[in-house]
Amino acid sequence: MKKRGLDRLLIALGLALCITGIFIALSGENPLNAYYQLIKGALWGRSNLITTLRWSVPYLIASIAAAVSFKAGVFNLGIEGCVYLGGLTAALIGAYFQGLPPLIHISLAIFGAMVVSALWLSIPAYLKAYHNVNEVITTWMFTYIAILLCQYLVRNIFFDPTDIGSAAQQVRTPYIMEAAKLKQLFPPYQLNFSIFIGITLMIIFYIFIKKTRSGYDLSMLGTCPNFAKYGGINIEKTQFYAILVSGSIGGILGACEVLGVHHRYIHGFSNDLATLGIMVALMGRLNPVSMAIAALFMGIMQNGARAMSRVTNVSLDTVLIMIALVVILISAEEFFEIFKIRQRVKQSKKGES
Amino acid sequence: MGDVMKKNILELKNISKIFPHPENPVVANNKVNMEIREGEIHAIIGENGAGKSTLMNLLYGNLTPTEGSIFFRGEKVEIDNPGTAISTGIGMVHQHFNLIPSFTVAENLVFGFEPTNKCGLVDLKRAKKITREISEKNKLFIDPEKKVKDCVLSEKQKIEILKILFYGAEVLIFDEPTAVLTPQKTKELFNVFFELKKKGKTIIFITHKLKEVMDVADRITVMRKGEIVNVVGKASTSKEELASMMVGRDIKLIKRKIKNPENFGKDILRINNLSYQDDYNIKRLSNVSLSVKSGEIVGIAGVGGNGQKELIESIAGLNNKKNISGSIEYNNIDITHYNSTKIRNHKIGYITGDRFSKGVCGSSSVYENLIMGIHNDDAYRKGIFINHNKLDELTNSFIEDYEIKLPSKDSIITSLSGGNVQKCIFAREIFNAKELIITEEPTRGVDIGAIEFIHEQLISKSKDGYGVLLVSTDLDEIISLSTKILVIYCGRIVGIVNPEEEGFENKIALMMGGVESVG
Amino acid sequence: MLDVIFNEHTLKTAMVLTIPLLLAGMGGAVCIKAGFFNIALEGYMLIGAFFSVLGTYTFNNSLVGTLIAVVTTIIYALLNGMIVFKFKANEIIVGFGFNMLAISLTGWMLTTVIGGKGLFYNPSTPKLVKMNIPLLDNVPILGSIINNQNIIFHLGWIFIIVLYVLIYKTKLGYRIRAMGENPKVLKASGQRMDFYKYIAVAISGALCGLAGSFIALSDLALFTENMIAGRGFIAVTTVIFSNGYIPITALASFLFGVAHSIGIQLQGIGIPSEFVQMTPYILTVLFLILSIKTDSIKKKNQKKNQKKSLYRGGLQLLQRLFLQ
Repeated sequence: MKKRGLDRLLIALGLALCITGIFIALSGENPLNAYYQLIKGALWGRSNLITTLRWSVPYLIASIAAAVSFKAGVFNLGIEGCVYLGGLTAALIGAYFQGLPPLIHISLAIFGAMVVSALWLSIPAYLKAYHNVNEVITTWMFTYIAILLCQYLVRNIFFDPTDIGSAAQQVRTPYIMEAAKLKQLFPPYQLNFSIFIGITLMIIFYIFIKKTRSGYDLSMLGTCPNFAKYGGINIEKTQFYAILVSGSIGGILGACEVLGVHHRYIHGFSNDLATLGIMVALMGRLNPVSMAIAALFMGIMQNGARAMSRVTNVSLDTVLIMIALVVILISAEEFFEIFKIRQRVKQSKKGES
Repeated sequence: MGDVMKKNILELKNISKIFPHPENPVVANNKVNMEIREGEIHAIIGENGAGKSTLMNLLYGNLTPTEGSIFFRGEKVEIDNPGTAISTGIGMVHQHFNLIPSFTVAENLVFGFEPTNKCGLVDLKRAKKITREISEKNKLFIDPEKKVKDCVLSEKQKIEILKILFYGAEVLIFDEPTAVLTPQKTKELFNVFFELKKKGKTIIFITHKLKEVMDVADRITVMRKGEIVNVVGKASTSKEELASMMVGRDIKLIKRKIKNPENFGKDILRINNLSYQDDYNIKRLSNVSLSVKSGEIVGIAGVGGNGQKELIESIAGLNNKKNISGSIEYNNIDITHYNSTKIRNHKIGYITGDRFSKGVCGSSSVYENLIMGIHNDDAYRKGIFINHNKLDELTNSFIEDYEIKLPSKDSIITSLSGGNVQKCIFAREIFNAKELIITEEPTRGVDIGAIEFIHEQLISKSKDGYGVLLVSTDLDEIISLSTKILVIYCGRIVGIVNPEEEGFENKIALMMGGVESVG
Repeated sequence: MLDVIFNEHTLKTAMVLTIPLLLAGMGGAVCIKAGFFNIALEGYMLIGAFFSVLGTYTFNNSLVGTLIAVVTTIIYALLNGMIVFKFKANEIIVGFGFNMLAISLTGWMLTTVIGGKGLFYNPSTPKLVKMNIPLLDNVPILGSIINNQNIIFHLGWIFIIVLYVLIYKTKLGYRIRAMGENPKVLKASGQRMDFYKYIAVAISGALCGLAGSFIALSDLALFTENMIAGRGFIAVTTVIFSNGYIPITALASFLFGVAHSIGIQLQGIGIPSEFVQMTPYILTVLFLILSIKTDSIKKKNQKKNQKKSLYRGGLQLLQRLFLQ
């Protein structure tokens, strides 16, 4: 199964690279050179590599958040809202609690982020699971509402007192306590402790899907709902918790970004992390290992694109075009039928003996 | 009536339809020769799998013949899609109506050939006029302005008939038209048949209800296992004779695989006056009562569509529980309103007939399919974790015991043959079952070796004290395996037969055709 | 205070704000009637907005620019349709992808082709002309509101009727609706099937192209990144709420327009802008919750109606018996 997922990703990627190459050529650059600059800018040299990893981590966490729900067949678009809410919660816990040892302070902040996020999405989750209300729209609306809510709260209540009267008045909270910060691994680069949180989450996700009973229930629900119902899986409960867990991982992501990188809540800090996380999850075909690779790929794109745009005439949007193309192509089932038929013939030949 | 010299409006010559498959090609129709005379009402009867529906689908262009040709009024025709069938003059009234719910009767009738006014817009007035005219001409009265979603089933059927008359059909094919009709509505439908016949139309209809056939048909074709068994005129036959032709005169040759034991044990499953109405308000089960004792294999015989599916699904907790009345008891526990999760918790083994929509998950591996339900057992879990080591051993034993042929446990289950997939479902469900096994169509589409194996399993479990409820449209299977046979017809149990009794085979045939009922 | 909110100016603003939602929403409605849940309306509008400005600038004519926008958006929509219908892709994931593709494509064209940084604005680009129709001055109340608007404004309201007629009174409309409700009927009568889905998608492309042009060319012939600002998604919610029934889709769009307009007025009197901005989204969720209730009421009514008609039928039968 894993092999199939990677196959598709590679084919879609190849096509996307070609089409994007055309765009690059239209910009007046040599596509091969552009891609070379991109890879170089992402992986060549200590600082580049570290920055690439710094970007891969949030995409990894975001993809796990998305995968938990998408794997159950539920399209949760409310993760972005949870990133903001979780980030704000963590920022507030980080800033307003004093005298706590780091482990406790950070754990409290992350835990708070998880709880707030789960509570926030409990309404769309309930509506979907027990009343079959389309979750695509409810969760998307809750994201918008969450972002505006955070904006309001920070602008009017939780703002940074030192900001008043300053020329560049941003919407942000005070800095968090030292104890609440996630330490940088290679100062001054932004890669921080959250990489371990990300890896741990990935391992937990892997174990959850492959080894636990609920993980099995979740996967079956998403792949074959009829089979799941016939097999006795409680569909409502599974869908409900899928959205809640998905949201709380989004909260963890927000907390990590706030505690590890910005050290405060700044409005707009997420910049579509969750949306790109969904793309990463889809590119990785919802498999933990493929998603990790896809997250790394996304980190390479993010970091490398900047380098590429500095050195060549190619704009940052070019990379986004490629990612959008990969997502579109990868879900075109019949596109891959050609390759599937070959596989089936092989397998049925084996099955004869 | 002077129909001796009537010409044939349809002729099928040497028609065969074979569905290809690497191991088990299905011969649905085997060198069928058929003549339909113009202006007659011709019934086609046969059990499930006789090939009736396939034949009609060939006439309507949903399928194309592997071999043979079709002649309409003496001229050869190639019917490769419904459009061609319509233009040739053949119309089909499907069992599941092809109508648009939000459109009115008139709009559905003219769909595809809508009349337009000067502005190019659909002329609803003319559509209504056309509908009224056709409706009155054929005495099929219906309100042209009624929305189809507000129509009852018999009205929907009328619309379908009017539609194909509007298309200019000369031959009208009906597939089990009375399946969803009350006796009153059935009578009305037959009046429609007679009216149409007066107007010179030809009617072909598929049914398994022998009384209807004797009421309405001029000639009857009996099919069995893809071939024509006989063609008779109504006057020269009887319900009883049709019953025995339909079911096969070699019923006595079916070998019994089980011998009824002296005693049976306690009641494991008890159903009392179970009635069920589906979402369209059609009564699918009427006062069904039965019991399955330890050691019994209770076979439910009947032509498909008489309530078997609804019966099994009601027991398994998959139906809309609001529409059930009566009770279902498992070991004296009332499980009537349990959902599928609770039923599973009670360890009732349920082997479904919907292999690929319910029984397995097509895109998952064999291993993942085998462990469904078992993964929650105390013995195979460690808290929240699945004990994959133990399950590995268990699934290996499944594969060995059931002789399942597969590339590996990790291959996708669709790479296995139908028989092997069924074995997987069997292995899993029999393991899941503690005392009761309910199964529908256990060996449909399965190769002979696997059939034998599956039957042995059911027999051995009954000997171990399990109760087995076996629902199957394959009469051979029912007769060879059951300790007791119930016949279901139109949602009712119309009789109980002991297969070790003399002459039981006649009774079964008559009951399946709705000719006889006990109690 | 109430007349600060409920006045002519608010109504005018409301009607203007409604137009993009209305056009996009009707496009989505046609798609869902054909059986295609289209969430890429946001992306379509963005493409329309971009090409309307580019076209207007190039040919120095706002109508030509609008036409170019419509054509390009139709092509974009058809591509979306092809991937979903022909290659059997999941319509939500692909819709998502096309939304993102629109953002990245327009962004790329902005920086690469035009050389703008985040926006494309050239003061010399003509905007859509405000049409003065003296006839309208005689219409009470509405007259001054509807007058002096550009052509897309008028098209928007006219299209409500045009699309209603198209979907419910033409052959094309019947086939489109059949595809959405029961495609087998088309198959059984030997007709083309996916063709009608493509038409529906093309219509949604055209309408979104107009919507995008309206947004870009109304006040200033200006394109900025993210100028659609989620309105495409609001349009999707009007589609869900109305289940694609054009008159209700139009009504829902108008309600959102009014809410948006009132919100702007409220901002003026000190209510925090965030809560004002939240109203469309909260309204949407409330709409969706309401539709659960109405669904169950509908089902109850259906059963009631059946009983009523039996009763009536029984009465009629009695009448016939006795009056003979």
